[in-house]
Amino acid sequence: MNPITATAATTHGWIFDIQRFCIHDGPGIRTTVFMKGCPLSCLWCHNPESRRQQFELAFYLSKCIHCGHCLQVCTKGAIRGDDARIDRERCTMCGRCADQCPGEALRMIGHKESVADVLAVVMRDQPFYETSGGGVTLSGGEPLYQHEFTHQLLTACKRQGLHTAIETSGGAAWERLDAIRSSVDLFLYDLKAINPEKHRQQCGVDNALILANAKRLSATGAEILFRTPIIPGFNDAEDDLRLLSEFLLQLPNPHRLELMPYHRIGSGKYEALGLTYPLPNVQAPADMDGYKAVLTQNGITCL
Amino acid sequence: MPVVSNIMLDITSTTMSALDCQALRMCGEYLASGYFEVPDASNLRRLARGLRRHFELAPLPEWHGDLLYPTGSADLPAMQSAIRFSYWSSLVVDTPTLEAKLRQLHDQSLNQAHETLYAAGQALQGFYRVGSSIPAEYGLGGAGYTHSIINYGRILREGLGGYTTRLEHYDQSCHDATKADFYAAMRDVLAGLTALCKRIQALVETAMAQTPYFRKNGTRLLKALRQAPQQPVRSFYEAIVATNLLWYIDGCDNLGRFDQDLWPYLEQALTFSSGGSVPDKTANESVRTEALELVRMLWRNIDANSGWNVAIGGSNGNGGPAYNELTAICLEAAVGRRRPNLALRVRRDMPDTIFDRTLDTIASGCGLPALYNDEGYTYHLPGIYGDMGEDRYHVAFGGCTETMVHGCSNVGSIDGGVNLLVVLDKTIKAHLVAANSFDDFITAFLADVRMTIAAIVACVNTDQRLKAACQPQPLRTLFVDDCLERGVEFNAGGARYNSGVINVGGIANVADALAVLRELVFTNKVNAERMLAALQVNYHGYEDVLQAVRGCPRFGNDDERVDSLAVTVARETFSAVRSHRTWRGDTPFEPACIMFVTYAGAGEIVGATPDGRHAAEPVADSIGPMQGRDMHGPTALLRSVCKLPLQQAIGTPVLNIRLGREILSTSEGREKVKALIRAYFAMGGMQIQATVIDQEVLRDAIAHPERHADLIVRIGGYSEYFNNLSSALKLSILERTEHC
Ligand code: SF4
Ligand code: SF4
Repeated sequence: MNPITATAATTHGWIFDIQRFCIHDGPGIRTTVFMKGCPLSCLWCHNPESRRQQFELAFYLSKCIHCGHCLQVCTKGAIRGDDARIDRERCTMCGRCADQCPGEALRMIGHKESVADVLAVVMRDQPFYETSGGGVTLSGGEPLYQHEFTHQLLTACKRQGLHTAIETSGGAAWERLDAIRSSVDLFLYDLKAINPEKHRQQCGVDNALILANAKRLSATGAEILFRTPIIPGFNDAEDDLRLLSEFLLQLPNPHRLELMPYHRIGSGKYEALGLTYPLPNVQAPADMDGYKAVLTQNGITCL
Repeated sequence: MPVVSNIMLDITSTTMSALDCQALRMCGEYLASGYFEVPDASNLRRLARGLRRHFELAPLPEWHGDLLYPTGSADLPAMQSAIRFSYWSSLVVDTPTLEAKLRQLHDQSLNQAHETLYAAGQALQGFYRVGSSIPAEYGLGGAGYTHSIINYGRILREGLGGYTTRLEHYDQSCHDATKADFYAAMRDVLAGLTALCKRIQALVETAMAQTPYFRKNGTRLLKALRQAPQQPVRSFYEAIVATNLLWYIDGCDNLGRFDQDLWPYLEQALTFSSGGSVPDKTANESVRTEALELVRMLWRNIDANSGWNVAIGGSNGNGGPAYNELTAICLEAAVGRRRPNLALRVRRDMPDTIFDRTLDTIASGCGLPALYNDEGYTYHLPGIYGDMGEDRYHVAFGGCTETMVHGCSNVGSIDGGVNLLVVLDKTIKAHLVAANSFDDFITAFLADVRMTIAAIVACVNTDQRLKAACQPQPLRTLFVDDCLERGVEFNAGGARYNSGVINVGGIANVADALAVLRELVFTNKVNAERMLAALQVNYHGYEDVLQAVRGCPRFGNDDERVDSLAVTVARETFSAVRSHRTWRGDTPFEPACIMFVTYAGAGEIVGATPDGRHAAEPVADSIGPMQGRDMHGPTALLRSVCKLPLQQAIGTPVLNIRLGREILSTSEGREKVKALIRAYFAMGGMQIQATVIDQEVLRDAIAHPERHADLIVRIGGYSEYFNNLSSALKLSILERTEHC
């Protein structure tokens, strides 16, 4: 085994899903690797299972056939008879209940995979990348959270000649971004709010690093598509759009911006994980054209 | 040619006097009258004479002032007779019509006529029916229905006059009594067709005289009919008029390579209209617009008669690309239509403009066209027929999608089929408990499959022999090459290429079931007795077994654990089918996976199976996964399917996928669909067809059929109105996983 394959086999990362035929995260037909762990905690996060770098136990009440197996197998007394089912204080995430659950109502989310194994799955769709100009997208969570794994996976993909994209919030030390730069064809860079106060409130961290990284990355000439989720009542005021435009316009290179309408698809997952959905009353924006018009007028190329 | 022997022919050579024939004509039974006119001749000749009389005398469908004749639903070879001819069954007696006629004669006290018709009916009742020697359990998706494609291009080029000349030439150069009888029969057919053409001209003339309003179209039509199809056609309009008429004469079957046969005429018009040195864009545009209108009219006729296949695009005789403006017109005219069953032959170098048109038509929701891997078909067809020279480039399809060669083959339709779940059911009952290992079990199953296929083939070959003996096809003998040259009747093997299609159903279910047996039964997680008990009671009270079953790997998810089983089953089944040779052509049978409406029916007769399928539930659709079991998107599905030896199932391994409407609504989405299809073909996929319908629409259509009379879905090999389907089939279509 050459040293590179050896590390590919031994370096492991926490991932929670690999989705094939993704058609919205970069050019062509892609496979998206969803990784666990994220330094941010956005209120509207639609992948709450991606936040922690560890197992999550999810319980889907609608799938439960009330067979009672789980009550018997849990040695920690962490299974309750009620609709929430799991006493998360007691649960040690051993996974036994999910193993035995015939209804797939209890499910362990997250697993450690080696770079080589992930690459093998990704490579399955190579014929489709070839005809479509697609490739692989790393998403999450925040892929830079597990920067070593991410770095190796990207390098391995590049070695196979794949088009690579990474979806990032930019919330990582510059060195990490800099290290992967040469193995990334496209950055899908999230800008959630420019106003630092808002960012702190809504995403749990300061955005100074994110904005500084964006500038430095732009200066390197990297291919970046900025993406902003539109969360009605949070980051969609005129002032927000103005700040966003100003920020983009003062970057060293011109970049396009894609608006992502807020959706509630993730809300069921909160329940399954025993969490409370933080935005119970926000509705999906009825129409994106208004936002786009404002941004376009500000001189932004908006998708 | 093999000789038919030891077959009890159930045709009586009842002799009737000239007077009796007169009586039959009086009852409107022209075919029968001709048949009994030459009692001592061969069956072919008798039928040919019958057809001639029919074309000379039978009432014609009305002309409604259209640019084509006939139009709408019209059965030219049958027209109101009780004893009629059809391409799929040759001569048949329609009992209700016969009885009604007899009653009428009786009431009118026309005793002599009554007696004659009764005798004729009696004599011909026993005529061998297509597929009678194939038991229902071996008739998956068909039992000897006989699709074909007559050589439209040649008729357009030579005219019927050319056929007469060739006929006389062959006749003179042979000195053999059977051949003489054969050519006499062909002469009768041509005489009948000539009479028919004259009568149609007269009909149009009369209608024009009565309805001056019809003049404009009538004058044009008449002019065309005076030339075509008797003489070589000179213009695109004449070519369409002739094609339309011939298609009705042939019983509304397939057009084959329509865009190749008719392109020279359109090309000429387009070239002339661009006016040499001074191109005239408007004139050019109007030629195209008219061509589109004419093709639309033809498609309307095909739809009205539930006609079949038209294969467009692909390769020309030199192996180069054969896409032209008529290919695009064919696609455009199919927008929103249920038929014809449009088959687009896709080459790697197919122009993007054609691909875009294709997606437009698919996006219209009609499920058309189906897409074929041209390189795959043209490369693998000689595996059945041996060296074919340039003929391999003239692959086309009959019916749903049975693979044949344009204008020169007799492949029929699905001759018979094996329902693998029925076989598995038997193997389970006989061997599951006793089998020592999973390998033992699978060996027993494959042996049962081979045995079943041998039994099916025996029946099918008997049917092929009987068709030759009892069911001559005079029209096809004339129009399918090389029957005329060889002096051999169509069903007797006169065509240049002869084969038969054996259908295979339930591969995905069997693979899933085998995976379950391996993972659960042969590991003793669920022992054999318990599995049998669960199947016996349709999993009732065995919910835990069902849950465990659902946790096993499923075909369609790019999961090697089960895909490898599907590969074994498909490889063994296809090669078993191909190991048998057809009586008609001494060629291997073409295996196929075409489960059009039959996949619900195929499931109805099967009890619960180890793959978690409940009793009577439909089986998997064609070569694809069981409905709703593919969970990893279209790339995983296509990869699973491509592991199968698809090229072996040249009779067509049909794959249906469902696309979300959204993906076809943006140009990026469309590019991704194109890439998906191109990759599928690059990996060895042979055929794929897509339905674009929103899930909510289907749900609503199940609840409120009255609101969705026009909803068309793609199933198995062709498109059908959703409302025409059984409720089991509707549900299974709803379950088919929607991609992207
Ligand atoms: S084992 Fe699964 S299905 Fe059974 S009661 Fe527990 S959660 Fe429900
Ligand atoms: S994961 Fe383990 S500890 Fe947690 S509830 Fe399930 S069985 Fe109990």
